[in-house]
Amino acid sequence: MKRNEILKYGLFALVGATIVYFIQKDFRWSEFVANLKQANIALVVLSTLVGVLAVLFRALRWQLILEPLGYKTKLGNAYHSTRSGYLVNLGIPRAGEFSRCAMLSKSDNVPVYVLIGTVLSERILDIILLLIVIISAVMIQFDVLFSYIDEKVLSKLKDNTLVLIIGVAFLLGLLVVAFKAKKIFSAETAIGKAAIGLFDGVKSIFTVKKPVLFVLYTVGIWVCYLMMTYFIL
Amino acid sequence: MGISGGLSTLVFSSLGVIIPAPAGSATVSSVYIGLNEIYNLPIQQAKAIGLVMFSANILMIIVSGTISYIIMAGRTKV
Repeated sequence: MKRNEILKYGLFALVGATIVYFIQKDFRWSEFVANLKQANIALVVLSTLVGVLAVLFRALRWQLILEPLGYKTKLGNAYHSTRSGYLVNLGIPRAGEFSRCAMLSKSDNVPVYVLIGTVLSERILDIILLLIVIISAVMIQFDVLFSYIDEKVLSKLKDNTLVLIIGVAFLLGLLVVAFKAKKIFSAETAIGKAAIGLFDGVKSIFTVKKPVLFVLYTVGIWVCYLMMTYFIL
Repeated sequence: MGISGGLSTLVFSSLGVIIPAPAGSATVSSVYIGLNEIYNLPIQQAKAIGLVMFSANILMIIVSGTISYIIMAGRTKV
């Protein structure tokens, strides 16, 4: 194992250990067990089953993205490689995305770089949907969130000149970047090339042959995620 | 908390997934901090919710992920 890899996995382990420390710190097990006993096990099981459905939607959507590129894959293989990718992610964060591509590549004879491109498109789409979910949550729960921000952030900012100066400097920096955007994001620069690559990835989503089905699967994935959370609450 | 509370909790857990911690363990913290700080849920209850969400998910990934991995290993002769 290379030194960089050892450092990377060491860092992951450190992040994990820190999280475990903060979770167990001041943890009252008796209260936790009492709360756990109140949990409806049937709903917890239902939540995990909805999770299976979310992966099925993801596999179906992956097939749809691959179709216009000229590759037909078996649903079972797309599902199982996605599922086992989650298992790999448990050990090495993000490695599951590559392993699922490698598996489907072997089982269905699809070039691995094509699959990685589609996974990249999926991830971009997920980020867009996550932003939509965040905006929806903020709009629906505006009163709760605003009173929290007002109490914990804005009220403290009013009394802190240094933070205000940093905030204004940050906004001015953003303005400078916005004015220089054309130069920064031009096709010659590394940022520009990355942006063009990402844009090409997103474009492949719009070439799907069944756009309605594609949207339905995408919405289905996020509805499943919402229901998984809701059942536990 | 209803569906809207579920939506907020989904946001908390999704933000936790972004942190590259082993097995997505940062979701436990992001969920309980969000529920405790913003929704004023008692800390033990908020932690219990975060842990149940995380444990159920992990258990499912381990069980079904292993089954899927074995199936794919057979199909690809890994």
